[in-house]
Formats: sequence, C-alpha cells, structure tokens
Amino acid sequence: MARSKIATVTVPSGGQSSIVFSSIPQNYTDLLLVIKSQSTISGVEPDNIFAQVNSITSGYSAKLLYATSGTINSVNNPNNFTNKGMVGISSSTGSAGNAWGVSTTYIPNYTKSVYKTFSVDAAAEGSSNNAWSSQFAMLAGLLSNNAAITSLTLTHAYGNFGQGSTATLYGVTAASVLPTTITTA
Amino acid sequence: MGQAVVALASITLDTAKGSVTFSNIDQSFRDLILVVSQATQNDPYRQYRFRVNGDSGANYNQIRMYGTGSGASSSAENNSTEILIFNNGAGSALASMVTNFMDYSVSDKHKVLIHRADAPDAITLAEVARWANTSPITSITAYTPAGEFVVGSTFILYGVKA
Repeated sequence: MARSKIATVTVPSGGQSSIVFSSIPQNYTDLLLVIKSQSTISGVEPDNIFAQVNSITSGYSAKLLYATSGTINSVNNPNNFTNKGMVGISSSTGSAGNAWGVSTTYIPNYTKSVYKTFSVDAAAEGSSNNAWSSQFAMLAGLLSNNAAITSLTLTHAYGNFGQGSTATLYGVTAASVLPTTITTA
Repeated sequence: MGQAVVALASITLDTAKGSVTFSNIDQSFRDLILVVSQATQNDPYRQYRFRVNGDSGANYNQIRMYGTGSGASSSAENNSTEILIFNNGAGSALASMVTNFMDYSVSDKHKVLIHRADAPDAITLAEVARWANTSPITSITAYTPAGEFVVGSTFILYGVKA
C-alpha cells in the first residue's frame, strides 16, 4: 500500500525504558509499526512489548496465539495487562546477543471514530541460543475507545529496550483513489 | 521512482450489505493486497467468505491455524466452493483482515492467497488457500452468507508492482 515513513526511533547505548511516537499525523488511512528489538531483562524469553495509545489506560483486550518450546497455545490478554496493548516480542540482550525480536503491527482506520484493532505478527529467538526458547506469535488486539490515535508509547512487560533496538512507524494511505460508497442493498 | 504498492479501489459501506465486489481488476501488477476492516450483523456465525472471478465451483483448498484465547487449533477444507474465513468482527469490535493474492495476473499457475484475520473479541487466524485455476484474477467478491457487513465497513484493494 502507499506507505510513508513517519518516524524511526533507534535506542542508544545504555538502553531506554520506552519508545514514544507523539504528534502522529492524521492524514493517513492506516498505521504500520515495525519493531526490531531486544529487552534488557534476563531470564525472560522473550519479553512482550506493549503500546499505550494516547493517555488511554483502560479498554485494551487481545487474543494471542503463540508457539514456543514445541507447544502451541492461545490466551487472552497476555501478561494480564488491560491498561495497554501487546504489539510485539523482544529477544533478550543475554547470551545470544545476535538474536533480535521482529514485530509488525497493523492498525487500520486509526483516525476514525471507531474502536481500534491491532493485528500483530511477531517472532523472537530466546537468549539461550536455543531454538526451543524462541517464540512465534499472532495477536488480535482491541482498544475499546473511539479516539483517534495521536501517540504511541512502547514499553516491555519486564525490561528496557536494549541498545540498537529500532521502531519505525509508517503511514499507509488509500488516498490515491476516491472511495466508492455503496448505498444500495 | 514510483510507489511499489498502489491503491486501486476503495469501498466504504454507508448501508449494510451482504457482499462487496471488486471487478475489472487492473492486470498490470504482480500481486494484490485486500485490506478490510469490517463487522457483520444478523449472522450468529459471523462468517466472512470470498470467491474470485465468480467461481462457485469446488475449486478452493485452504488450511488455517487460529487461537481463540481459550485454545489453539487448525482446520482445512479441500475442494470447497469458496474461501472461508470465520468469526468476523461483531458490534463495535471490527475485524482487521489482510489478504495477499500472489501472482494474481499470471496465466500459468494456480493462485495462492495468504490471509491474516483478527477479530479481537473472538479469534486471531492465519490461512493459506489455493484457487485451482490458472486464469488471472479479474474480480474478487467478499460476502457473508447470512446477515450483512455493517455500515462503516471498509474494503481497500492495492496492487503490488513487480
């Protein structure tokens, strides 16, 4: 889709606790968030990434499907968080320093007065350099709030973003075609 | 340098409707992407289905994996008369769906569709399907066999350049 980069954040040496996209332009149709990341926490493989929309701290829910360690499972509301929404997973900065989590989140109609849906695909190799500690995840997220999305604040469930982690926000537009409104049954 | 992905058509419903069709699809691209944000009403099964080129014959194979929050599963159908994606959005919880139609304009291979669907109050799902026909895809019809897509549902078709 016609896609434009809005902003990229790269985490510097020393890491940081959050990544923030503020003053998000309102002239696109959808948003795409791409994260390549490590978490500074050890002993958690992988660490889930969450996003808070604007200053909204309630109304988040999700269905998660994930595969790890030879098993597959599905849960509601990962980490039992309902004050922010999951948007990815990170590898640890531990022993396998070359492992990075990769996550994409698609948010359609982010400026419209509708509940917001988050479609997430993510994968991360665990820190023990063992494929069995890796994880693949798909998630259907919902923010039961009609507000347009003007900011996203990303944090981990446990650790900070490690040096070199990047998050890129893209705007996707269908503005090149005029919408056809169907009015007849 | 032109854009690699181009919006071809956009449909927004301001009245509830049982189906939406993109016809006379531009054949100058390599792949198609259909991005949908919608919910259904008056259908307790919240079904979302589609066909290509109006083909209602037993020419679709599909396999899917999905999670409902209470369990993970997979299922498949061979020689089906349609591509089935179940558990649409309902109420205010719109479903987000992205379908890639790979090599849609070629005439020497069957067509593969890769689909992701997320209805946050019900399911997260990934599916791959094959339309057993070498004809180029010239139309796509998305429909719900019972009920209608609600007002405000959006369907956007993009072309991906080679």
